[in-house]
Amino acid sequence: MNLDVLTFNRYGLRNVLIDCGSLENALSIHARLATVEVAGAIELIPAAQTVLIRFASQKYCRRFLKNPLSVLESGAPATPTKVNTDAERVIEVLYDGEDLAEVAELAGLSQEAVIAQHTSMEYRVAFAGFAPGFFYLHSEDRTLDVPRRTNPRTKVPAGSVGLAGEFSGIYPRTSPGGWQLIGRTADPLWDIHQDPPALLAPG
Amino acid sequence: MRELVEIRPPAPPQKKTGETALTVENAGAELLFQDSGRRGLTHWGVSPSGYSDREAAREANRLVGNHISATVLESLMGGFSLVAHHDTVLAVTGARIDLTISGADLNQPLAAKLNQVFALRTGQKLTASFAHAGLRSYIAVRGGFAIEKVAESCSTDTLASLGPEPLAKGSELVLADDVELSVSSPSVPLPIPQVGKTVNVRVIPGPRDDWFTEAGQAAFYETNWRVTTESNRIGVRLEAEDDNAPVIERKLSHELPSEGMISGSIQVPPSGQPVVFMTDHPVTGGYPVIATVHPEDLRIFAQSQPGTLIKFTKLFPDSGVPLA
Repeated sequence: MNLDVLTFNRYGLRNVLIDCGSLENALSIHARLATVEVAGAIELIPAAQTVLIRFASQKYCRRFLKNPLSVLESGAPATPTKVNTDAERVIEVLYDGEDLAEVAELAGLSQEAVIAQHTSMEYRVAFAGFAPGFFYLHSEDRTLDVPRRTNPRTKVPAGSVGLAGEFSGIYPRTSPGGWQLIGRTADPLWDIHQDPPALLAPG
Repeated sequence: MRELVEIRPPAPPQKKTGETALTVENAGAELLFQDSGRRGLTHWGVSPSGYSDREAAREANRLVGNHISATVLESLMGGFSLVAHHDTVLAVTGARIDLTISGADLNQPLAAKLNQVFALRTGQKLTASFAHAGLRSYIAVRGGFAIEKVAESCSTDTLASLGPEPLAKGSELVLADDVELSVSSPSVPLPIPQVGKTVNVRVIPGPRDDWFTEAGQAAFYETNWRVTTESNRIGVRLEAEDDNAPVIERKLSHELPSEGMISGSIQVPPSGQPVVFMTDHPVTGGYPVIATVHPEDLRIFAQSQPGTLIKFTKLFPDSGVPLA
């Protein structure tokens, strides 16, 4: 966890957006904030390089901003983000995505190599985002980093497996999207009648 | 001569829950269940959802004596009609619509008023006109609705299709027994923006205002923005009233890594057309947020018909005083 790189941005009346510089740091900061129980914080939203704290009132927001580092430095010494190795999920993917050829070209590999690469990589669920059951999956391996499509699709079928930047993701239901599609899965990522409803969880 | 004062008999007690109290005969453009929304589920990517015009919804609940966060019906543009199967007590707030009560037991239709409790008795029909001004109406029924919560709320999330199905012709509404207080006396309807008129909206700058040049930021505050038809519970898209308006120029041109969003966030995508996030907004977003709408002014966007003009006023967050 690196506190030196952090910047704190007021977000609306009663929220703070913390720039953490990297995904690793954002997840560490998020873990620390969750442990120390910040006064008046009602929600923590980690993302690619930031953590958003929502406060119950302006008063708590101001109080936090007076000395944010002291809050983060309090409590037990920082532990590196633990990988919960008990929670490993294998997701079966049929690699027949529309953008597979494009991804192969962007990555400088054959299509078979892309498939081999994607299946060999170990992904960690970084954070949730743009729909229930949509999780940003991150791997240390940068081989398959590709940009988003210049023209997003209006309809991405449910179960599609896509790539964008340093992340993989699976669309839990049909929705618009700009990620490069390399395959699809039949595994249900989100079912409100299950407990918990999400197949995956951060970490 | 003394005046003849007519004392109306009190409304008979409502039937017990479990039976259909009201049927939807016409749902209008959109008729949804909404309550105060979902909190603390962002780790699953679940949006806050809930009433678009929170103040109008709370007022409707207060009038009928419900808890202010009780489930109500949210109507888009009016045009709905409901038939009562037993005696009910209602209040309607929000957009300016005409309400008419008709029924076999009435010699002629009655007019019901906004922001005032009224009875809809067995067999009577409530018909709403299309909204003359404003966008969303809130219908509260005394006792609330008996529907199952989904992820701790009865709100319909239109982004994720989470929660109860949108209401349609034939939908049956069952009431609950959750009464908090007695009904309240009539209140003054909340202000509603008018098409073609300019409304000032207070915003707090940031958090990504520094992604834009000084000229770009000035353009955001000086432009007269117009609400477009590309708007819904997820977001309201704006366009410049003047085609030659200066662009909200970016200082940083790389992609913004996805980050947390809140209701009222104003994103500026590469097109330069700002989008104001409403309650069904996605939890994270990838376009820089130049400013955030003051929570008390968010209802302006919930009630702005396309064509409404908007001007943003910069607000310093801790003073309540607009910046120069």
